[in-house]
Amino acid sequence: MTPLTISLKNLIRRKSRSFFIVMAMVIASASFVAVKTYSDAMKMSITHRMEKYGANIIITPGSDVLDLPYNGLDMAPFSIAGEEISEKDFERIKYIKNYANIAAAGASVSGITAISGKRVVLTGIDFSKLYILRPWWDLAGIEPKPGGVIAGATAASVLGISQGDMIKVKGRSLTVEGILEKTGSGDDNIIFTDLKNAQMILNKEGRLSMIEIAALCSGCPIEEMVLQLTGVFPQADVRGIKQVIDSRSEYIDQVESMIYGILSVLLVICGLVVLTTMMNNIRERSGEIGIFRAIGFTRAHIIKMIISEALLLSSLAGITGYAAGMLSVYLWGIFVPAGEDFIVHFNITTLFLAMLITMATGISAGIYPAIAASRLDPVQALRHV
Amino acid sequence: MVKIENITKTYGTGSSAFTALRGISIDVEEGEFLALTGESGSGKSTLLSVAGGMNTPCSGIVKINGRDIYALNQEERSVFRNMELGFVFQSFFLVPYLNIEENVMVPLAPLEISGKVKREMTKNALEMVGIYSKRGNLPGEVSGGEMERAAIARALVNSPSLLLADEPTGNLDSKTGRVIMELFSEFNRKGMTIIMVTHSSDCASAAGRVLKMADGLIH
Repeated sequence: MTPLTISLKNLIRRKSRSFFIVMAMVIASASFVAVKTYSDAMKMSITHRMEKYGANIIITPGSDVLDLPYNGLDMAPFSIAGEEISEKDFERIKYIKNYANIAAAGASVSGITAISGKRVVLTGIDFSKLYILRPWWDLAGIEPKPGGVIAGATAASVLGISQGDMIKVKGRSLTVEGILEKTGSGDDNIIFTDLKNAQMILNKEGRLSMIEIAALCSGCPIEEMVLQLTGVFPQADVRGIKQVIDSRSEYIDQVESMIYGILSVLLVICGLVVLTTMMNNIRERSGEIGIFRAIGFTRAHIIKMIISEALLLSSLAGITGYAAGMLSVYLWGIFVPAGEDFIVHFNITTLFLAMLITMATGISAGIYPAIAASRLDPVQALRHV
Repeated sequence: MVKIENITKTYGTGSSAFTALRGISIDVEEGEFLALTGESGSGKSTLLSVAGGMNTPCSGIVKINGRDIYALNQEERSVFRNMELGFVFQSFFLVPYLNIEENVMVPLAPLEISGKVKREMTKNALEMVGIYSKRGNLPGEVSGGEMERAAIARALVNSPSLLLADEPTGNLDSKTGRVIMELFSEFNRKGMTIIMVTHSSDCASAAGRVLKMADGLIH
């Protein structure tokens, strides 16, 4: 038998009161867990969708020769005819702090060349990174091989070429490995070949026109990575794709504001409910507390007992609230489908935060009743029994 | 053992002030059984609570075993009560959600001793008052006499040097009251010092010395 045993037995005896205190905190805890878990799942879903957009950071030579859009997005000017990036500098990417966030980095070289007497843009890329850097390409039936080319839909139409044809570029015979479906981007006008091949054709050995980076967006600080890359490529323009960053940041900010707004109101209400209920509880138990004080419990013992009760109830509420919150998000996901990327994960941090919030609320709301109880005069308390 | 010197106690202030004790001095020797009698409002319960360190007097000194208990701070006085004093209240004041054994064990709850030792001490106290067989019952499941015995066992569980009892038979029938008084006499014969407040002259007759109080004074 310890003061904690007495607290526990008191809670068991006053089941309905304990239940209402727990329920008040469960509502706050479950709301927090639901909103945070839903928000995390949405962020992850958006992240996955963003990753499907391919490269989200572009490094181009520091030049102001020619302005071009990139896939219709608001990109910095990049150079075709200006200075290029040295191929050996490509390795510098590894030196940035957030290198682990890079899913793929691909170098490319671009230049104007003539095919069948027509001037076209020839771009050399790393075919092995295509699935990450250009996930929107429909490569069904196309197996890019070094030395072969893939033609954009418009370029193929203008040049009158189809899959399996041979084309001559600066005296080299290249096989057309495939024709891309229309993408609606600048890629439709370009003939693609592998990087080494393009460098030789364009006389740009060891030089690059652009580096495309697909950063893993989950917890990935794109703006921070842009700054880090600018540090290792001081002569180049490093740009994040603004729309991706801005839309994601705006969404996250809105969700987080909503979380904190709802939470703060709920926590205040919950704290007041717990405080009021515990004060009533103390009033009812004044005789009992008077006995404890009379037979030698110190004020510290009484405070510990009341705070222990608040902690026991809030811990129970934290765990129950976490389970209820997760269940509600899971059910929400079933009845209001948010797409295949919307996956609800167990998150130890959310559980920890839910526990922390409910316990902090329980303790905060329990302090005043605990002090009030410890100040009860045993003689007065026993007189009123 | 207990030295009460010139104790005064006034409740309230101004026109509503009520003086419950008007300069009372009593010496209680070790092993003595003292009964305080008197009408309601005579100040005997106030004197008992002052002697028990629960009710700070307006003036005067209370020494128990040579220690001035009101020179101790509140927390030290709580520990002193726990270690040195046993209280028996008129209305039993058992905690309703704890069984008899747990109720008796309550004074041991704050102590840093093992559960086994606590259970052993509780068993001894329950056997001393003859209700060990009722240890698993809740207070609501036993008779008034058994509740009073449980309250006495609770007062004795930590082997106090002084037992303070406020109307211990006030809520009992006369037969049960006599049994309780026999218990008190037995404890006193074994050397326990007892100060008891009572209305009943029958109960007071069990004490070695009887002091009558009226209007906050010993007569």
